[in-house]
Amino acid sequence: MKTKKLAGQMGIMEYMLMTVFIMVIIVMLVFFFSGWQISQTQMQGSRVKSENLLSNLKNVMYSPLFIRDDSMFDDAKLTALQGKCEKVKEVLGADVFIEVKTLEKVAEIPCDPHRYDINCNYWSICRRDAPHSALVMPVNVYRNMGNVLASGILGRVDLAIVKVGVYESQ
Amino acid sequence: MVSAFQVFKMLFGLIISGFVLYFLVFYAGSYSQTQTESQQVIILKNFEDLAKDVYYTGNPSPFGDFKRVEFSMLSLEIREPEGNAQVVADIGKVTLTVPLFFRPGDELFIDRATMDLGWWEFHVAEAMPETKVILNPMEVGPESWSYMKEAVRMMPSSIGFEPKVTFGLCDGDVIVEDFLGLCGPSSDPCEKEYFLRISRPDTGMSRCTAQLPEGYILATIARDCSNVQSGACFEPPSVGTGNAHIAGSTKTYLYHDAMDWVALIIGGSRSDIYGFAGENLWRHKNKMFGTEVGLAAEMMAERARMLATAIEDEVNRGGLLPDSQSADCKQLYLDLGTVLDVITDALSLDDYHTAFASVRQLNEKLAEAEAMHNGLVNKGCEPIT
Amino acid sequence: MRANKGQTTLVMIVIIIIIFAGIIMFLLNLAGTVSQKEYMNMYSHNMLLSILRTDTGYLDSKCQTMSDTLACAFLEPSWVCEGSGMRCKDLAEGLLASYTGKLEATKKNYLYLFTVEPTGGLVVRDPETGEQMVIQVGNMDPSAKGDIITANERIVKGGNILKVQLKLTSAQ
Repeated sequence: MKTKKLAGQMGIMEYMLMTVFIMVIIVMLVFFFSGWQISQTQMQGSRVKSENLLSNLKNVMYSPLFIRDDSMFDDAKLTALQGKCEKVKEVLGADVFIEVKTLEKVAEIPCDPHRYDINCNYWSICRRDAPHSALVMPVNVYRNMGNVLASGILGRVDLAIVKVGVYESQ
Repeated sequence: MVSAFQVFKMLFGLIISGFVLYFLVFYAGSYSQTQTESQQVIILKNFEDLAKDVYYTGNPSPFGDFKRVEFSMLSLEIREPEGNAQVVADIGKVTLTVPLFFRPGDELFIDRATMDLGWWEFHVAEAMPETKVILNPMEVGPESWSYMKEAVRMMPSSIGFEPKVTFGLCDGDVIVEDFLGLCGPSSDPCEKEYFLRISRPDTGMSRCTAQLPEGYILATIARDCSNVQSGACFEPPSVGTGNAHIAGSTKTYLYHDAMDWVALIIGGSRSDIYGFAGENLWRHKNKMFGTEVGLAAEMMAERARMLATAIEDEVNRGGLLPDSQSADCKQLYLDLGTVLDVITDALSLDDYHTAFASVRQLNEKLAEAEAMHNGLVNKGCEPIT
Repeated sequence: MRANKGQTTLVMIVIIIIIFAGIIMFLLNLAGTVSQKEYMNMYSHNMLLSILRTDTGYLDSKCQTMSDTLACAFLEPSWVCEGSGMRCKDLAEGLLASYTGKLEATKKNYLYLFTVEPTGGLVVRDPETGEQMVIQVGNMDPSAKGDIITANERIVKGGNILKVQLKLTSAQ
């Protein structure tokens, strides 16, 4: 008799325990799933950010504002565009900056925005000291007056690096 | 006989199942909503990426992602004051940094149109669904016909792709789409390259009164644009400029190049909360042209002057002979720089495209700059593009 | 028996949750690598193209660009490039090492292997060793396996074809 009573109570207790356990698991699943969605969204955000960086890089490398041919920058165009950051932003988008440096010398010799100089090797457009993300890419720079001979002027193609970046939103 | 314990188990099981089911349905419902919105965002992003890719590379491509998810709204808004195109959907907007002529549809064909200015090329990406562009040239003077052909040349070329953008003519209540012998071996609607072979007729056509089905857009060329049934209507050009109208709108739009025609034709007389699509595309094209070509002119002018000065310095230094071919480039660069300065100033005005005098002067200077650039190329000072 | 059945169920639930979590983490990990691969692909193709297009600084038409010099190294290896005092082959190897070295300095975590060899039935013997000539420059082990991006180009000169290959990988 006593065993039967206890068996019934044990059965009910087991059910209650199972129910509590299932509830705990469901709540855990809800938290886990929400947490996963949040991290997916964050990951999507950071993937979009890196895709945007790549997109900006491609835009610059194909834009006739800067290049003479695919991935070949024109030194005179780069020089002329320095100091025109506000207008470049209207075309490329806000918060984008560009740096180009040829690799024949290690030292950075900035180019004067108002004068053509065959000896300078560094151009920067919209560059400022602020947190940013950037990508680099090997490219060429066409030096319009790369070889000056008595009989005429020949261009020269130098190896260079382009860095295209986006400033972090404040 | 069912015991109390068994009844308890059944009731308990029902309650728990009901709770779990409710929770699952609720969560699944809200998750599916999030999933739809995420998919819409991804599709808009893909569209933006593809449009930019077509713009930069010139390689056309179809885009069918819009049919994967139901969009209750898909339109184009022009963001002021920059003039950038914004594709607006239920989930939000995506702003494009490149010029885009957009006509909504489930399946689109994206191509690039180019206006060659010699020293610069102005590109526009064009995204259109399956469309039949029906032209109604009531005026067929040489300048009108040439403008019409130039506008068709700037429209998408869908040979080998789907969906198709094809062309036809309308004369009264007759629509002619298959020009036997001109549009390929079978009597299919004319694709761009075949349509361009059509010769100018001796007399103009009658006003189009044919009922145009879905997917047809009408472009009329006439002296009197007052009773146009749909689409855009262009008054014949005079010295490269003229007035255009949109059916249903009382405004007049000044055009100064064939790309203005393309913008008004592709946008047409569709209207939504953002206004007439043709008007929006016309404003967008001129805004982007002003910004991009204005910057390009300013940059190329400075580039030309710098190179001219550098050449002079080399001559003075003795590094370059004064009678060499390269030395001759100096004056050509200086002349080009001067003309480009005028173009920069003209395009710096927000409303440069709304006054006859300013667009006529702009067209004149653009033609001059193109001729000077050709001179530089012929001299070997600039590369052949 | 009933107690054991309850416990078994509980253990099964926990195992399913763990498997589920594992799948999620695997998928999350996979998604992150797509954008990186596209960038590396673009980097390798651009590195190859820009090196080949670079001017050597000499105006001799056989050694004007890097691709001209490489072609000369295989087709006329003993040609002395005007202004350099060096044979094509030596100039090509020296410049290739210099250019790749400069790019290596800007992207220190990348390993690369630049290989140039004749193809299409063309046989070129190294004048010093007598063996089939191959120019190879890089800091990657040629026998390396794993996630390697490959970019290919061809140099065509007078009907002869040279295969130029750049292999790139990220240093672990």
